[in-house]
Amino acid sequence: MSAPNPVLPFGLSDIKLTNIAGTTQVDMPAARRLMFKERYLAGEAEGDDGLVAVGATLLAADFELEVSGISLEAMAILTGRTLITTGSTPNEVKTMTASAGERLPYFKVYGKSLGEGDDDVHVLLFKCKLTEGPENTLQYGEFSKPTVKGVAVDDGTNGVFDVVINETADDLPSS
Amino acid sequence: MAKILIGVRYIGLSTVRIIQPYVWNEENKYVQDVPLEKAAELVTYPGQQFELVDQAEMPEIVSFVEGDSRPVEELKKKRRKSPSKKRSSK
Repeated sequence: MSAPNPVLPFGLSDIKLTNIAGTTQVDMPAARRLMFKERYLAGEAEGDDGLVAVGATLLAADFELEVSGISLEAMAILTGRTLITTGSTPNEVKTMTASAGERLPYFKVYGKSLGEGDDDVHVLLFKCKLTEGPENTLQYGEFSKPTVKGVAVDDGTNGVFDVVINETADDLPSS
Repeated sequence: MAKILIGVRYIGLSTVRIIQPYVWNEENKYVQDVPLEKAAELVTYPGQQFELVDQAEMPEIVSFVEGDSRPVEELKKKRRKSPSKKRSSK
């Protein structure tokens, strides 16, 4: 046997967020969507009534995340904000304050989709930063499904992202 | 009776954890010395937010016995050396 080709990822099994130092990892609750799209710097050369050349280089990757529910632990990784937990159960309180002017941190995004057999696919974005959101809606008759958008850049070591196919499904990296 | 303090580390995901009067944050490297009873309460807290500090692993963290300025380990060594006293039942 060997790693499947083509691999047929189905659904979204897991998303994990890790701070850029790799010291803190948070599981995104009820992950619904991880979209990533490569962004190119492209140019075209025209002449003699035609297109004679195309140049394109990879710049970065744009990504979007959607989950069900609100995790302040995940928000702390995404935004670098301080999460303060006070009190003991059953009166535990978690508070996160967002302040104007705060600067956003880099973080890592790992996503996993199970294949049709024993295999899985991992998508690893190594150096990400939010550019939009988090967008939260509290609405009658619906669970909250926050979304965020961001950009993944080259981290100088691992590149912009990895796509990994495991013949036998494996856990996402822990750092 | 002397109160023994035990190092407890916060291993949850919050930036700051407060259970009055104790605060775990980056400044104290998420380690606080708490009384034995409180330590027992914290390490059995739902969700595994706390763990006992391994003294060998964290040599810079020293617990003291209340009313005695010597570290607990030093007192333990002394007890080991001194002859054991037999309890007298009246």
